Amino acid sequence: MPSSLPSLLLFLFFQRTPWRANMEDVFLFCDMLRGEDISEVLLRESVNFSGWPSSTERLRSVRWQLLLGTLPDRCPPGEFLSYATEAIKKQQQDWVQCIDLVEPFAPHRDTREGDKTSQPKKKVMKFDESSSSSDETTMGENPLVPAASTYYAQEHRYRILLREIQKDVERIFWEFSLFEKKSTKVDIETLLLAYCLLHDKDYKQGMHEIVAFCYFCVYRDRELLKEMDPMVRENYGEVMTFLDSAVEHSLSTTFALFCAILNEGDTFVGLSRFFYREERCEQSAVLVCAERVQQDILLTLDPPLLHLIDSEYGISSATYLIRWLRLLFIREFCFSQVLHIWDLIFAERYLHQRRGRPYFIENGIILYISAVMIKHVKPAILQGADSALRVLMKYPPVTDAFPALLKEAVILSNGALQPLLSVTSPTGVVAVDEGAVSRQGAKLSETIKTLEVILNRSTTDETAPDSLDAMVDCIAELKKIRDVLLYGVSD
Amino acid sequence: MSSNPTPAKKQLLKIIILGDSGVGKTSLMHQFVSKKFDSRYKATIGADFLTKELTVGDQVVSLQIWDTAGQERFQSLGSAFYRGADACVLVYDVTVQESFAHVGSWMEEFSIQAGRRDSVLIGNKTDLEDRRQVPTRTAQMWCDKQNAEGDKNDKTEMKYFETSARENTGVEEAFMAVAAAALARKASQPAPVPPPSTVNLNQNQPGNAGGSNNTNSGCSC
Repeated sequence: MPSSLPSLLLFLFFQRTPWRANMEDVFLFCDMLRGEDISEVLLRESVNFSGWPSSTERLRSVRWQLLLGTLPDRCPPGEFLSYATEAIKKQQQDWVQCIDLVEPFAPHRDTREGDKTSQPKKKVMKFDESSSSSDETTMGENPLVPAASTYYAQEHRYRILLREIQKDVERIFWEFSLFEKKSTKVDIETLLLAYCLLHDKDYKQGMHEIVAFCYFCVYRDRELLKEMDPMVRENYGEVMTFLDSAVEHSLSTTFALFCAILNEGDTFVGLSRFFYREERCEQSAVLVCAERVQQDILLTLDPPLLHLIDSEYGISSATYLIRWLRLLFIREFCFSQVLHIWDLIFAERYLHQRRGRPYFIENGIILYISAVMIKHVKPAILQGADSALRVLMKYPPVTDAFPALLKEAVILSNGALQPLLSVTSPTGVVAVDEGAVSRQGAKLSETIKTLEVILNRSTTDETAPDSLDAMVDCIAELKKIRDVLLYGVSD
Repeated sequence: MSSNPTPAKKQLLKIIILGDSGVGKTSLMHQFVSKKFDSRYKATIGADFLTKELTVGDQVVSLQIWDTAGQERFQSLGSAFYRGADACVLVYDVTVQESFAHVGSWMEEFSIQAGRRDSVLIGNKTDLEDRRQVPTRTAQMWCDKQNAEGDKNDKTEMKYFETSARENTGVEEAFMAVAAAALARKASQPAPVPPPSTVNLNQNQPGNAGGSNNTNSGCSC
């Protein structure tokens, strides 16, 4: 890493590694600390997939927490750190409560993080509610006929859940050393147990990969932050303190993300609707959506293709779309692409929240991504039923076409994300009046002069104290010029 | 040389594998189709599929094998998934008693969706003999009982096989048996009536599923 200021400056400008992306995060949260509204930037960057794969090193778990509302996205000036600290503390408290549900049956799964002094007392198990016994054993229970609320019944439920969860967690074979560790598997099992016990729900296959991907993202962000240069840490102390704390407690953060993705309600994504069937519904939501992708959206996109898949080949939408939709495309794309897709989904939810509208994933961008994915493999589908089934069941890698595929999905959805697309596509021509272009040119000239002065001064004086601040100002100025010229932002 | 101058048309058979999670359905399918065992198969989500071409008697058969997730019960894959199924492979794990106890409900699941068909019951993981919980005789008796209780007008049969997908024992026999049974059944059925007319692929076709005009999503109720 560069140690002198001139080399750092050049590094920041020309390096196309995780550094560049991390600095974007630092700048974003600097703005937040100053009390600025960062929602536009956050959304714009979430919908900007044109730079794939070079921009995949953003701190996703932190950004997703803003998009999913588990961290505050707007605070009064100077208040962000205290608000964020409070939110992180609340996540840890919630996690401790979840562990209390798991721990009575498996003390070794006590994965409380951070301050353990606030551990609540161990639960007292009684024969029934009328029992006056204060003994914390299970004395008096009949294990052969346990009532639903008794220790034996709960333990039985726990064991069934654990068995089902373990079967799948043992079968996570992702190509990362993280997932070869026994401790990682125990963490993922505990997260799933906690979710099921807290919400009184059964475990459903596929949830294990959703939670594992969240866990991976938090871990990845922590690793990225570890690589941050000490000089940046020194100069952006407050921001770095916040970023470190946002990923420090991997279990509570993962759990908060996982719940926000699964849970239903105005501020959540509601993916659980694709796992659980409502009793009042004849068909599960995931089947309804799968049908809608194939029958309705593909009809709009490519009617002959729909006819071929549906009438000629008789391919049921459920066969391939259940996996696509439930796992949010984890198995269809590489991880760096999945990060972009999840950015889109969460940005869409965030937009709904900002407009005061409830979000329903079954109307969301994922349906349009699915339809565009089908169209993308049309050549293979045209080859025959067998080829069509193969390509839909085992989706081929998408490389250069990935940004175009997502862009087409956003346009096809004609929804909340579409206006953002026009300001994130550098290939589009932005209408900027001549006066603005002239003003930006003058600003650019001034900024170049300033940078030259900094560079000259830093070459002769390594310790120039105000050079970094001046450089940061220059970067801010350059970003404004970029926004005017590239995204049509008013100057 | 065959006495028949024109080769028989290739027959497509659709086989569905059902059973509890973790009993080895995916491993069996891959062992039969690709002749390999991998201890790192991911959990199946929804369904998966492979095809294999084989010869049963003098008939060339394209076997379409559908592997299902162990939790996809209670019609959660929808009736369209089962449409056209010719036979069923029920799988349990000989080391897990509970997986054998659920075989009946898996059979019922299949019958509700696809009707009664010939099927085979597979007790998998015989390489773990020291952990066996389900005796061979118990499973064989269960099959005999199913065969005895079957509708007299509908002579479907359930054969029992024990396999080890890991060691590739019994796998070929089980799948060949289900293919032969499905083929025999199909041969006894009247040929399907061809579609009434050709279809112009360049013409817009409305979705043919009920309720497809409803562009709103969410719950259908």
